[in-house]
Amino acid sequence: MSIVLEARQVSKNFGGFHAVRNVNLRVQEGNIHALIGPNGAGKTTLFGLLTRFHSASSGSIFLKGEDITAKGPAEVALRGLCRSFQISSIFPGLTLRDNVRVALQRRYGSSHQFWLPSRVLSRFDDEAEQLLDLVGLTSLAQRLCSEVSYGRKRALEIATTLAMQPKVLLLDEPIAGMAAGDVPMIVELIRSVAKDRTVVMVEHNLSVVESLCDKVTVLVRGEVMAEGTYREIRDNPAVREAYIGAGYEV
Amino acid sequence: MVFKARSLSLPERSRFKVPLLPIGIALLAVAPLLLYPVFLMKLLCFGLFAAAVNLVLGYGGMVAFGHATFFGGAAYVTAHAFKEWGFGAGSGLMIGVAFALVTGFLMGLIAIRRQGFYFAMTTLALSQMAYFAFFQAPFTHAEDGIQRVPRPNFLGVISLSDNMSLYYFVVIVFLLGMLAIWRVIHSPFGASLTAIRENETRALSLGYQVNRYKLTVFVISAALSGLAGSLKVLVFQIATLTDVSWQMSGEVILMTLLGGVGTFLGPIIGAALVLTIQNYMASTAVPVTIFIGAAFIICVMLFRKGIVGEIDSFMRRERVSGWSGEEKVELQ
Repeated sequence: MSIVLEARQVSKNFGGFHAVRNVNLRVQEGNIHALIGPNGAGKTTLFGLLTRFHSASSGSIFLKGEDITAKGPAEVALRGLCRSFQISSIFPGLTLRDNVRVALQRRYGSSHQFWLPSRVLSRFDDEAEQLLDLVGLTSLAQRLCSEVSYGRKRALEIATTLAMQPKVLLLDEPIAGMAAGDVPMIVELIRSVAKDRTVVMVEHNLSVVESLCDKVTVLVRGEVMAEGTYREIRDNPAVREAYIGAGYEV
Repeated sequence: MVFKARSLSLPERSRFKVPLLPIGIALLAVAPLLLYPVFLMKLLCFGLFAAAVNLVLGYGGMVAFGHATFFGGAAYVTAHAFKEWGFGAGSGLMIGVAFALVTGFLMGLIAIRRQGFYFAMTTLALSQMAYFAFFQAPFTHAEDGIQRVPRPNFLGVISLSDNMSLYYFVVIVFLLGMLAIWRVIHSPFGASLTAIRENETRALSLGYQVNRYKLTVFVISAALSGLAGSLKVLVFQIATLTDVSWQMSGEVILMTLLGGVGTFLGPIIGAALVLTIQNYMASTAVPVTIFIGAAFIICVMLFRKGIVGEIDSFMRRERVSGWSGEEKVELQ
């Protein structure tokens, strides 16, 4: 399988603090690739670098072989590299359906049309409904986002991101803050959307990582400590020590 | 510092749909029979100006302190075109709008790179630079301003010399300006703008190059502010430094805040309130700024969303309280 997303010797410094240090990452097309590591390991910063929300202090990033190191986040998103955020990021004053339509109108290139009435956006309604149906939110389509629970906001964020039809989907802790009952639904959702795209996810829930991911990269203090299948990572003593300290058994 | 419009998605807007246009036209048609036409024209000019500022402030979420440059700059250019170049009413207004559009593009290009307080200060600084440029430019006649500006005919045949014919001309231009604002707000671009104001980071992650949208709305707002300034010259036949001063930028923001930021009619109501206070309290012994300041304090203390904003919120609360128990449970 070909490499769809690649980071070469990527570093990010905030003043004297090295958040990410010489990271090499190769994500294979069609894989679900997990980034794990203790708090402060640099996972979210690396997400920010890959999606160009942060500019790299050094190193290069490639999407399908194209160097995107100098591109902005919007350009990268339009090239098919889309992300969700660690803390649910939606448009709170809009309805759930309008949230999805905002993404659809960007994808279809009609977001600049100030001379047309907004009713032209209704042509996106069917697709918006399908995406909301995918995450089980059809019945709340006309509600304002600020009025729904956190778990549903997370599901909506995934639906909105999927509206961009990304080639590579980056999910930053997709089940964080969700009620236990909602987790299986999101896990199944990730599994189904990964059938025709690549997914990179930051996740702390290792059982979710085990059930979903083809490959796992472990980051510790901004550096790649280990990479391999979940089983290989689980059996790696250095990873165990990084997670729970020396002298303990899982 | 970000001002948020009360976001109502499209279905909700339609729920409270009021036939604004026929009611507005009817009111505007009979208004000069009841009130002094020159005062009404002033109200329309400043109402359009405040509505243009509201595009940036309420719908774009950007506090701009430089709109006097577009309003007053267009007024100077139009006054000069009428007086020295013999332009007609239509072409005079257009050259004022063109000036504001170009100036808005240049100011926006510089200021839009900054956010919040820094954006506001950049626009203020650029506006002050423009103020001193106008002060020094020979054609503005410095503190004297451009006085006794003629009122040219429209299309060469329609005389605007008497107040009543001019009033109806101003009404038409005002309505066209407001229709342009309505179209921008209720368009795919307006939806993009709402999304950017609601969550800029999320919009970026969905492929929105947010600065382009901000610049577009800033330029549209500047052009409409210029239209209001040019119209003001036609009414009062004078262009002065007051029109380009920072106080003018502040005053129009005050009008918008009082009426309701991010509401379509709020800025017009706010402009009417401020101008009425100025008009009717000017003859009292108490300085008029005291009354305007008191109105602002009352607004901040009692109705922070402005007059129209509070009415809008009340209607939304009514809608939510009307939901069934089942609907409320479903949201959890």
